[in-house]
Amino acid sequence: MNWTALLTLIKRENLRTIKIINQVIWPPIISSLLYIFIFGFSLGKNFEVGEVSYLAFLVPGLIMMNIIMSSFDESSSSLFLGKFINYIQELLIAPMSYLELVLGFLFGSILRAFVIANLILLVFVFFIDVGVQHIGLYLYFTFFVSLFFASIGLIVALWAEKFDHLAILNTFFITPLLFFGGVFHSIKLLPEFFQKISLINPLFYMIDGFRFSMLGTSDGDVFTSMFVVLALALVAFFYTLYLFRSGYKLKQ
Amino acid sequence: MKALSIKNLHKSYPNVKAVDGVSFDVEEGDFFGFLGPNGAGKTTTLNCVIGLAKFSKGEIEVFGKDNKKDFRDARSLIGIAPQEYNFDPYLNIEDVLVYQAGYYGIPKGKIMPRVKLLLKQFKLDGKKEVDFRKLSGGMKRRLTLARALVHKPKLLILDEPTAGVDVELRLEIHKYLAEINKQGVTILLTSHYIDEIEKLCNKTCIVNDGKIIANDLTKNLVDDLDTGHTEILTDKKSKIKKIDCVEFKGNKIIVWNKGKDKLDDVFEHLSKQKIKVLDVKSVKDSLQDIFLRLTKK
Repeated sequence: MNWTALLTLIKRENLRTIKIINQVIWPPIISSLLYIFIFGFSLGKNFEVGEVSYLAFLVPGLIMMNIIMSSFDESSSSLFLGKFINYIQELLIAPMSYLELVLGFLFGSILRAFVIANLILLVFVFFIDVGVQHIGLYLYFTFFVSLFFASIGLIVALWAEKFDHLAILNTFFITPLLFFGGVFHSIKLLPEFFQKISLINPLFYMIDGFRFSMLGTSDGDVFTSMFVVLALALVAFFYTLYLFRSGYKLKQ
Repeated sequence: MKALSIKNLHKSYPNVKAVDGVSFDVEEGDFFGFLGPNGAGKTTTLNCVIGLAKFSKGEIEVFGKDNKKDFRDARSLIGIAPQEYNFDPYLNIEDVLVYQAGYYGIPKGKIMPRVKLLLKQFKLDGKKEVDFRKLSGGMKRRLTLARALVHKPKLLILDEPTAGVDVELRLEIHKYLAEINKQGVTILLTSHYIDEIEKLCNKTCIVNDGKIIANDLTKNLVDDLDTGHTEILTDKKSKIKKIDCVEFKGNKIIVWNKGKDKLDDVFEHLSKQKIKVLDVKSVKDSLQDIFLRLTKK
């Protein structure tokens, strides 16, 4: 393993995040606060979901939504821009293995997701009674969900021919699945048919498992959520590695 | 020792055979010119060497290291200066070199003295904090070279290193390249300035339609092909007479070296028309003439 190269690439990804901090760090924090103010403090201030207040219920969903969005955005935009301006060639001709390249991009995204998740949590704990009940699970879900979406981001960036293509997954898949996956609601509030439909949404397990790590309560079984998230992350990671190794849309 | 050895390289795209059995060696210390018209397979061959293109058949070794099996060693030995600027937009000039070294496994602490030296050598030390987009064309070209050299490669591959730069910088780059070549760095150069190849390269390889059509010492290529000609300048236009290897172009008559024995016939033809010969000169073909003739352009 060329550790210096790997760390250089991770450092480069973090430097990129810092250089575009107004695009990628502050907006998720501000939008999360707006969701809390609008949905939490106004509409849901007297509303409870199970044993927790709606405000506290909302927090894990919002954090997970931003973990998903930020890890996907970071890896997809970084790799696609690299392809677009040919900067990627600098990495492809360097003595780095495909594993190092993929890990470099992924860890850059995972780190961004961690920073955003914890900054949002830090802001929320000031005025909402919420914390982390199971730190191990909190780290587990943050890591594997961001690994999954960072891998998906790389796959989409490899496939994409223009910037517009990057938005397809976000607009038509991630956002609808997030909203139906329980960011703002408990699936127990849904009619039975839609509860069953929700169970085929992979994002439900991500949000639900993460909610358990913070609140100690969830709609589904946390072990099922752990398994689904781990399986998805590993499949996406190895598929990404396969695409890089085959040179898909990277090499002539 | 062979700095670069390419054996029977084949590379195809759908419906196009880009490289068709290319083989050549670059010896350690060579200043090797690699010429070919657009679409000849030159860039594809180089991309196979540096790992940007996959190839279906053939072997490539860099200082004895297979560029697939021992890719880390092989790539560490190569420095590349591409024609197109492909700098990381998030890095300043100094960081372009520092991060490049990092990708080659050299940490910042170790590379800083060399980075400072290169920035000074390429007259970029006053711009180290600047974004590359704010550099002039010449400065970008110098940065490309500095980046290619930061990890001290033994084989330097330069794709049009003087494209778009003024004459002064072009000569400066020639001088610098000749100097580092003397210090032992093997250089493989592609250029559209054939005089550049003729001036700098001890060996030249010409590729066309994916095949090598000439590969020799540059001097031999110019001498041995003996494709020079004699130019006869007359006081008036001569009648055209069909003589092998002779071309009548108004007041100028060209007799190709292959038809030297026809010179007497030409003079006799002129004498019959009472045309005076003003000047006779022997012209040796440049590498450019040879290149154009070989590639039928």
